[in-house]
Amino acid sequence: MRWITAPLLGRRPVTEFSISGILEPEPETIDDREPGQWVFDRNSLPIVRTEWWFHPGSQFWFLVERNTMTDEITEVRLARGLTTELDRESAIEMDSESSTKPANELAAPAEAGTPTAGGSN
Amino acid sequence: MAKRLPPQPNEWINRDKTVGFTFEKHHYRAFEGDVVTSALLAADTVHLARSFKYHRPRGILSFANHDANVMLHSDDRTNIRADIEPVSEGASYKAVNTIGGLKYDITQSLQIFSRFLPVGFYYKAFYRPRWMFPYWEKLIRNLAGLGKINQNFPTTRHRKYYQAADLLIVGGGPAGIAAAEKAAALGLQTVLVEEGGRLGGSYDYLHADDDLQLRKQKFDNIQNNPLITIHCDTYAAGYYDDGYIPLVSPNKLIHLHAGAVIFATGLMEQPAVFRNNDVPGVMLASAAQRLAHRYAVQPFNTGVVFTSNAAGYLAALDLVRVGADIDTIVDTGDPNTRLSSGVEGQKNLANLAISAGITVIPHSHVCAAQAKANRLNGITIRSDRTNTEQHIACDGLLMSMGWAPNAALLYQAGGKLTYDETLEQIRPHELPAGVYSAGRINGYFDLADQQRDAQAAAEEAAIHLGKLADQTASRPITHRPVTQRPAAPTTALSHPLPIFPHGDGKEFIDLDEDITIADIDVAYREGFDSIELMKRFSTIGMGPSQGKTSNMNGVRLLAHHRDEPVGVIGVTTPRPFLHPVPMGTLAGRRMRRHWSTPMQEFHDSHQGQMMEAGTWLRPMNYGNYPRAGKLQSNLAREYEAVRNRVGLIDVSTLGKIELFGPDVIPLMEYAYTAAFGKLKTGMTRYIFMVDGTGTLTDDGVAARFSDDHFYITATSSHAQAVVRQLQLNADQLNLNVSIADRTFQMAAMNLAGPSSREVLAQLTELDLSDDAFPYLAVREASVAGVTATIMRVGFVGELGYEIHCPANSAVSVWDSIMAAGRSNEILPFGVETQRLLRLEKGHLIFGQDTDGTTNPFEVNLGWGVGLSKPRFNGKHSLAILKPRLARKLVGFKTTGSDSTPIEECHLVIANGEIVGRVTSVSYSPHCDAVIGLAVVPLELTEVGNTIRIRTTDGTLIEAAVVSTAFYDPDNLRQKPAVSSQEQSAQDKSTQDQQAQAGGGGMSRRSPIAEPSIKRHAGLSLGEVSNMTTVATSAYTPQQNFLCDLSAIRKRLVIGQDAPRWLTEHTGQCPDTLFETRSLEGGAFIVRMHRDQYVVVDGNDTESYNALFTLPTGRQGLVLLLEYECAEMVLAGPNVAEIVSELCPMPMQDIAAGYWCATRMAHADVIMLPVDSPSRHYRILTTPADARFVYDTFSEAIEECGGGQIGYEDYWQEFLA
Repeated sequence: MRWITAPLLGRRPVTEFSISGILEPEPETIDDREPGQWVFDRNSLPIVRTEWWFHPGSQFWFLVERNTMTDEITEVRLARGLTTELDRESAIEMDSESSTKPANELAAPAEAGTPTAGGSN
Repeated sequence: MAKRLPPQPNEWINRDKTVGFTFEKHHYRAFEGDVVTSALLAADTVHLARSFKYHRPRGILSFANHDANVMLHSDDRTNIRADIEPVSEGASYKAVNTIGGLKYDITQSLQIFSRFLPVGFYYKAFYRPRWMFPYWEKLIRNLAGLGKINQNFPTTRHRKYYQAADLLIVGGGPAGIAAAEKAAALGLQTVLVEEGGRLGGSYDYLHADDDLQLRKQKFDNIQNNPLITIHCDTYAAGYYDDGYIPLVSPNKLIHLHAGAVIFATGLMEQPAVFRNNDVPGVMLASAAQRLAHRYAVQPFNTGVVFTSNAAGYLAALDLVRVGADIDTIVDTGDPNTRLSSGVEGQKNLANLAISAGITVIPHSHVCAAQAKANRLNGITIRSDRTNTEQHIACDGLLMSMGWAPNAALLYQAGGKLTYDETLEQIRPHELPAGVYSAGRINGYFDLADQQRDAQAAAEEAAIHLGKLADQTASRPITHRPVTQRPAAPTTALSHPLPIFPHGDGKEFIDLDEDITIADIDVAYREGFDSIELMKRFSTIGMGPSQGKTSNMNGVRLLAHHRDEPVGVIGVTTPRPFLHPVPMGTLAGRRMRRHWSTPMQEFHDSHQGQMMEAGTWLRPMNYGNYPRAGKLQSNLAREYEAVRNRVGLIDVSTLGKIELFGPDVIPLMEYAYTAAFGKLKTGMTRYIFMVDGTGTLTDDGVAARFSDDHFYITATSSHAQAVVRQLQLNADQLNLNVSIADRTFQMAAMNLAGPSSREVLAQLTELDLSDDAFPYLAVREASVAGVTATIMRVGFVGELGYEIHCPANSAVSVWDSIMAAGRSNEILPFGVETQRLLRLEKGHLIFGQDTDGTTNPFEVNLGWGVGLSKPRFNGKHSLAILKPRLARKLVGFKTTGSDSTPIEECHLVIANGEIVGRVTSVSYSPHCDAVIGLAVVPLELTEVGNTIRIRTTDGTLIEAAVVSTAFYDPDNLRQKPAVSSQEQSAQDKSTQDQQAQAGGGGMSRRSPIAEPSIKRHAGLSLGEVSNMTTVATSAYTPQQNFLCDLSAIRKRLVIGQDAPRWLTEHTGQCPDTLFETRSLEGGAFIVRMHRDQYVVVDGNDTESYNALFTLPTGRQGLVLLLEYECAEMVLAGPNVAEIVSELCPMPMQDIAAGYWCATRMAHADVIMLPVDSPSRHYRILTTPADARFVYDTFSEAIEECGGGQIGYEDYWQEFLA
């Protein structure tokens, strides 16, 4: 079993995630490319790549930098941060096309497991 | 004569208590603590087994579970290893693989033919002629095999746990114990596993003269250390990614996740190979020592030690000291080089042996053993100097030839081991981060060295885990421990080639598979000269013991043949598991979940013929009427009701998704193919999505409530994938939309048929006239007192209303509709009926009429593809596919007999070629013919064409291509106009009937409530306030209990403005994910997602605040929804154990006050630890999963002792 330490979630078993490869939104125009290239061409060489991983329990998408040769995970970040006032301001500044970058690093998500305030019954 | 020795200081047996058991029909008495082998040897039974191929008599070899010589089966178990099987009163064992019993096994005659059964014989002999093979196979299968399986085995529960630790130490010998001591001192949470029944390892027999008092102190210390968990009788079965190691013990399995692992697994003594080296009485020296020290058994009368190193002398001296009779030492080399390396300095061991009365024969080897009555009675030794042979009478031969590392898991962890020419032994050379080896496996034979090595390993592990600052960080070498590893050992204790061929053969290199030197020679000559190939051809190392005592000699022999150093040959990869793991241990608790809809009880009580639809259970149809006429009777009744009167179907399995936020329309435009510009507020439309290749992936209905609020449906079992896809698109395009998966929170039912309006009108004040509520419109209204979303749909081709309502209130809506429809003779209908109804309309079912290659144009959905939109997922592919249409879905109709042999997936044949397939087919009462849908090439699609369908028996049936709209092609029945006069008349009757139908009273029900489950308090949420207090004595805080808490209401608040709105209404808003903020009266708010919050009420009898009195629906820029779930409480002293059995997530990682969305028993749950360390959880799951999760908990709780308690009891005790 692999364990993934993800922002907001802390350390989680890999079985909680559903794992996709490299995902890009369909571009508005596909010029000068053979038909089907955008759909079907994938680099299967051993590389460090940014993959999209979904955590259904929290409904968050994560960007996971993974070495496909060693299966080593070097970075896990939120595809988009929590929406707070701060987030939205920064999100507006984002270029919506460059979607493989996180919308913001400003959310500074607290690690799960460190209570900040409040409590419960 | 084998015998019991006088009491030994470390013995594991209890001489005060004896146990009787049966082996091969003979009765034996043993001491408590004995294993089967030690008990048999103590009774001088040394012939214990028959070999696999030639059925030769066998006795013990390693007595450490490194060999599989002695395998037994009993009435209910097989694959029992006698060397580790504790004796129990009344047990009865038989040796495996004999015909006629162990002593007179008739198949032993096979060895006469051994000359004709060389390795590879079976491959070569039986493959021709082929028709003979079944005969040979039967014969061989009867002769081979190990043990018999009793198929009436008793079922027992084996439990599996998930656990986590900083450090796992494998091996409870001197190194493992030293490492554990050190690790605990450094503050590491440590797990120590020992395969044997007790801690100690080689302490017991190699260091038996050690200070016992001091050792006992040491053992006590680690056993009492709270940081150290010790599992004896447990082995690490394999090494998987990220330090995940299954720990297997006789009745349970622990999935351990360790931050670091130290392998202190030691060495496995290796045998010598000479003629008849397998006769009972020939064993490893360490086996005799283990028997003597742990079980006080001397397995021979007169013993001879055959050695090539100092360890053999030490073993001989040790055995003499405990009272065994060692007559002779046969040394392959010069005895004067055999020196001890103790603290007192080097001692000449040969001199010690001679003075102990042992004859030492130098420069000689054993070349053959002789047996009489199936046991050793003498050996022949040959002097390498004089080349003369000599016979020595003995009944025990103890081999001490060297060692191989017990390194299977080290290899699996990615460790690299190399052959150390100095030690003539394989040693770990390079290990991955977080994996360490310590002790004898590293080549340290001196006790102090082993301990120092282990301490250094523990420090390295602590540094790796960040628990110990690197003391020498300023130096360029990182991760250097404080304790230095001891100097590399220099004395070779292994013989480089302990293999002594004999002209007459029978020198066994692998006892599991009866592989001899000759077999390896044949394999080598035939070209299998790499170790991996040789293993597969000769099967060396492939027996039950996985080569633990044979691989090393195989490698040495191959190196000898190839005339290359041993290190060049390499070794085969040892794969998991280390030992055979019983299936029951792997299976664990049965956890196969089904999702059921809130209407499950209705389906059950109306003979719903349930079928699996993905994870969901759905009724195909109701009742069990015998077939009569052209359609199955159930189907015909229900069909007739919907077409002529009214029917109701449970469609709660539909995916239901709420989309809310300013970017809803951009998201819909991108994710779905349709253009939404024309979709008016208050209307719905059919939608579908494709993937990047243009292949259809999902369809549903989109309802537009407003520009920033859509409610969409998705196909059953595919809702989670659609949520995932929508969230992906929203994230990729940075769209501001809240996507709430309401699939489980909402139930849905479709009321269809000409009288459906009349039935619905009785339960709602909504104006149902065509003008006010036209076809395809969506309305929110109260139905039977429950706030519902109603869509006018036409899936089955009649006037119909799809009613969506909160899941926990759905039963009351369903029951009210059934009651209101009584005068119209309403019938519930199932999925099978719906399939027929929609087939007559030519409506598609995704996944049945489409497959993983279907694009929209092929199934007549081109009208829903908005290629003029600037951008959507799959647009480019669809643009390419549109002009290249090659096949299409058509309707077909057969003339002729009514009982069609055509089935789904039958092939369409044209000119002898397969050109298409049938996707749906049924007899249609409307057409009075068999109708269906088929995918055919474009040239066959014209209406009036004839297609040929090949049925199962090969006959071709002709069918005419027709329009797919078999029934009501103009859709008149879906939108019958109702005159306003009729409507007003209806309205009046509605008012009258509403009171009767009890539409005003809303009744919520717990999704867990189910009469078949025995519980103390069957809770119906509507009755909480006057519920009688049940079974107050059912629990004390010391007991485990489970309680259904679904009565507590929850609200989902979504929308970008939710934080502000919540702060305004409650004064609180959690910042981070899963954080909870307390409100008064035990209520609290949790942040579930980006802009989705759940408010949990404190007490259902008195709503906490205005939030629960507000109507659901839109409140400015937030959406307030009913959050329907099942909630339960799991608490008590064994709860941590139960949770660790069902949930891989280590709960200690979750702080009190935080929710944790994870998976438990394979179901999605949200856990809220109420205290920390938690023995008390509130657990939320979906209504669909509720029964399964609750039942699994009930079962687990009952096994631990405990039960279910009533809601009020819990409330008073904990929440008041």
